[in-house]
Amino acid sequence: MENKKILEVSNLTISFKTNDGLVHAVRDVSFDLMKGETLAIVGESGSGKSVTSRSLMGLLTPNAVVEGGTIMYEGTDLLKLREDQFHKYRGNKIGMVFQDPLSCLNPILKIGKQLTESMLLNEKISKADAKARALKLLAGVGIPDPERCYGQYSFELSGGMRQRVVIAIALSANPEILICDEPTTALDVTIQAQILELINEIKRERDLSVIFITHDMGVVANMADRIAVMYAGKIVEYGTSEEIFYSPAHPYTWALLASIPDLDTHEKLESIPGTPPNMLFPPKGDAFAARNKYAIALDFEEQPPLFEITPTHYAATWLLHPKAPKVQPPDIVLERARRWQESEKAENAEKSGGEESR
Amino acid sequence: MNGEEILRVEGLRQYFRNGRNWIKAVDDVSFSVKKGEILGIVGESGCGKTTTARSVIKLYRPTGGKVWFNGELISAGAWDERMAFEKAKTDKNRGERAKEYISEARENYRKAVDLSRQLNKKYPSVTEIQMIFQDPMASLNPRMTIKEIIAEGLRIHGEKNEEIITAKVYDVLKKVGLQPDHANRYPHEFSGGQRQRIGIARAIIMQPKVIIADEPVSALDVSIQAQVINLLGQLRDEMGLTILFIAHDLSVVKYFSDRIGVMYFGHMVEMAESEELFSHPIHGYTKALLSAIPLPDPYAEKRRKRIFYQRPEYTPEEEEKFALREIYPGHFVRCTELEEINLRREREKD
Repeated sequence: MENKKILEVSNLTISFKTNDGLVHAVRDVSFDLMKGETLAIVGESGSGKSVTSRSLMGLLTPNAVVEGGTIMYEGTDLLKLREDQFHKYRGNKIGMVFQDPLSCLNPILKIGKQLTESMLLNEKISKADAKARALKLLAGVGIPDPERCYGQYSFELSGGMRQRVVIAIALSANPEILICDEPTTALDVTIQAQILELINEIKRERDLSVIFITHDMGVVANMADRIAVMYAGKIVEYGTSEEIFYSPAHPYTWALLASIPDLDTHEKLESIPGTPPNMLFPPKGDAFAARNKYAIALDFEEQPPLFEITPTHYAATWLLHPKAPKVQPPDIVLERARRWQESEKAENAEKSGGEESR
Repeated sequence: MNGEEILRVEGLRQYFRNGRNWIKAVDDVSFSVKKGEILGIVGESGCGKTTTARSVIKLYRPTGGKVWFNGELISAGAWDERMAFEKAKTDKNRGERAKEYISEARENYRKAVDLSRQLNKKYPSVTEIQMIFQDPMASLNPRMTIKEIIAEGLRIHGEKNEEIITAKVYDVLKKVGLQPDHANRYPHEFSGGQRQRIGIARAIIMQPKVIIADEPVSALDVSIQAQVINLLGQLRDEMGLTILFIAHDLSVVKYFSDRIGVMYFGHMVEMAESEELFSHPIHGYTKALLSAIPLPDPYAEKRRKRIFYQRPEYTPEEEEKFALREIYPGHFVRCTELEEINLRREREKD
């Protein structure tokens, strides 16, 4: 992976006008996307992860107000573009795969038509060429009989096949960045595994940068190079995938990790009490404080800054302040980290052992 | 768990007519649930797990098979008798007593249909089995207050005393972790997790013995899922419930269930204690399913081998040779007799 930033989001703040007042959906979010990496944004519904990704695509609803921040891509600020200027980027540079493949395909148009539509519109190519390219794309996303699928309607396909078509459409203009907004939530586990595999493969083949949005920590483990955990419109922790899974620092990340049963969990699940805050009235201090059993008085008063743990790992919690009380993450998290270290050691030993014997 | 059987399903078939064809949503599924047990049923969408649940609770009239609850036959279908009758009509080797043979089959068929109808009249619904549905938004009427929703079952079953109703509603609200003053609000005022709690409250107010939970957590956020799972576990302990837990998320099922049944294309393909199923999966589909569970562990995940399962095609004659057979004590797999011997040998080696 070359360390070249291709997308830089800084201090992004987005609110929505509603009848009840401003809903603060995204509050001061900053992250970068490197070339060829997968960045996962994890959070529960209402945490602002989808709004963030939609703002990258210029797909915010009319009642959204961008209160500040920049999204820099190739030297331009995407937030300042007019709608007609955005055409150059949307789809062509940044592609998007949506959550529900049934509702984002048009039921009365054949798959072929939907695939070639944008090619014919944006490029000067003949219908025959467009079809040839579409068939190649369909084959590329693992559809067994592209010719047949080309003439079918979306309702004739299974959920997994539909999602493959949606991915093909997103890839049709050769984007550099692919945003996947919960691409597997509507699918079964076995199909989910196939789609994740496909996204990984395509990413490798085309050297894509992927922003992967999900609420499922399990899905992320195999996909992400780096992970950003969002809560109540803020990034509360971000780091490499190993750092987030094996040495998480923010209590919300702990809680997320502790609430998924492992295959060998037997104790009672550690659930997170309560519900996320109402973003009409964002809390004054740390948004997670009210549900956090490790919260200290300062958490309710003042928002914690992002503390640096390692050069790649940041977390926004007062627990990292030198004066804060020392607390232990939940057992299930420690246990997982311990298992990982052991298996890594075992593998290293095996490797060196194998070399010696040679 | 005292080992007493509370629910038994035998040869359940639920077919739907689609033009001239039958869609075999559930095809010859048998299982039994002991008192206080949690039986998990997993499988991909469209494999018939929800249909099974709906047939058990009498939302459908079963095409074939029988269901016993607490030792009493509560529903029955007439498929086997019907097939026997059809066969009698077309059988070439029926010999001299053909007429008697046919009329006997016809009589049997008629009796079975009568039984099915009678049972439907006798038990239009079984209040001691209750269901929790998947989507808490779609299953709560947006125009009814929480109290009306929860009390509806009581009212239908003839409770008229308003004081008793109110007391009971408040009681179950507390049991599921909500406040009594939530009773006069409407469903849209609640979050997903709270709505699912309301769904649970509605189910337990009838004092059921068995709860069928049809994907109760798949529509919820991870942090809320754990709350609902813990609540169900706690209610089981308090009320001595038996739970039929339907889901496609295997790690949750493993955590929550005592036994697990795996369904695939309308058949029960494997059934065993959770530990046994996860440590020694036998059927190809189960293996594929287990290898696909996402794990919250990047190291393990990157070194994992996924197994793919292609559904084999069988002719109807071959299909008949398959049945759920016991390979190891308590571990059942759908296979032919021939396979059974091999599988048994392999399982014993482990």
